[in-house]
Amino acid sequence: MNIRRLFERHYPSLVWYLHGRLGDHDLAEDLAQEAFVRLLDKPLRAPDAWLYVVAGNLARDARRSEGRRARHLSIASAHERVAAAADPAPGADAAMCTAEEAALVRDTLAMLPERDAALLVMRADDVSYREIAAAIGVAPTSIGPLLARAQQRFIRALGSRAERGRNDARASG
Amino acid sequence: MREHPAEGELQALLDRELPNARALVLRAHLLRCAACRARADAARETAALVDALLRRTTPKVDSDSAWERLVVRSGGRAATARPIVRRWTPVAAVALAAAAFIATLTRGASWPGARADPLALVREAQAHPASSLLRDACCSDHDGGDRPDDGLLTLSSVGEKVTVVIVYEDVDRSGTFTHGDIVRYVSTIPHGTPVAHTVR
Repeated sequence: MNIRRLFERHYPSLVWYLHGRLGDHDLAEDLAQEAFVRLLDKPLRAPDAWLYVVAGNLARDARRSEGRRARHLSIASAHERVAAAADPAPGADAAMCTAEEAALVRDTLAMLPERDAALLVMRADDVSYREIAAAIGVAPTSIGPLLARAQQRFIRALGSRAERGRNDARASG
Repeated sequence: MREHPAEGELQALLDRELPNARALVLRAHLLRCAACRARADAARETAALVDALLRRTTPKVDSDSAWERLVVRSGGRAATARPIVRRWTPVAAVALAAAAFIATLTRGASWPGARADPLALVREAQAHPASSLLRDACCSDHDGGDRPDDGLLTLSSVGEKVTVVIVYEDVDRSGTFTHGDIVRYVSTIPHGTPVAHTVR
């Protein structure tokens, strides 16, 4: 696979993953680009998962240097978005992706341990167990259990955030 | 199988990431075990929900303009570069020769070439799971090629008697021994006495 095809396949997901870690779309794009530049310096046979690992490291460095936290939005505004996503307007197309839904998913991912978030995004991006395993330094047979636990944590976190949002909406209403 | 599969193994089955032989065993178990079938259904629903949420909330990015920025940022290198596929190194040849030599010392019917059809042996083992145990450990760097793309497949019979050892390169990256993979080494003792030395 050449770099262009690799870029088209993974760049949007990388940006999205980094946006979730950093809360800053422009910075996410910048770091996703940097990950690809580093790939040019170190061509690999199976770079898919490697890109996520490098992107995660870049995000960690960026947070450290800028004093950022992964959760960039205030709890209050996050709850408002959660409440809006939990109680869609009548007639709203449930299948349609909304900005609120995207923010809810992104914020929920940001609450997870970094490895869990990376695993879920890589899996959704169709990166193989073998590549994920090689990138994060575990045996391929460990990916199934890790992924299953990450999915459970994600669902639990999503549920608790939605519940919190509903409670806050009731309290303020 | 006597034991119920763990969640992680069910997950790997759903993701088609289990070796074929193990996947067959699990599928057979699911046919007989309603509780595990329910667990597999729940795991499938959870995975589908998570994947759907992640995929549909991925923002639309203007890949063309982003690509142009990358080309500029990389000084033009992105437009011409391709990921390098590392080649089999001389070190691998030495490692393979050493492995073959060691295997010869163990008196097995060593083979890179003929004598036995490894796929036929595997199929036979899959057809008779009660009489043999097939283990497919993939993937690591067994051939010294500096890539974790090799599998080690063993066939054992009752009494911890290892009768077949296959080192293969997982060409199709399926994570298991399949048609089209390159066989680097085979040692078979189908009718002889398996080796059981104490290391001194």
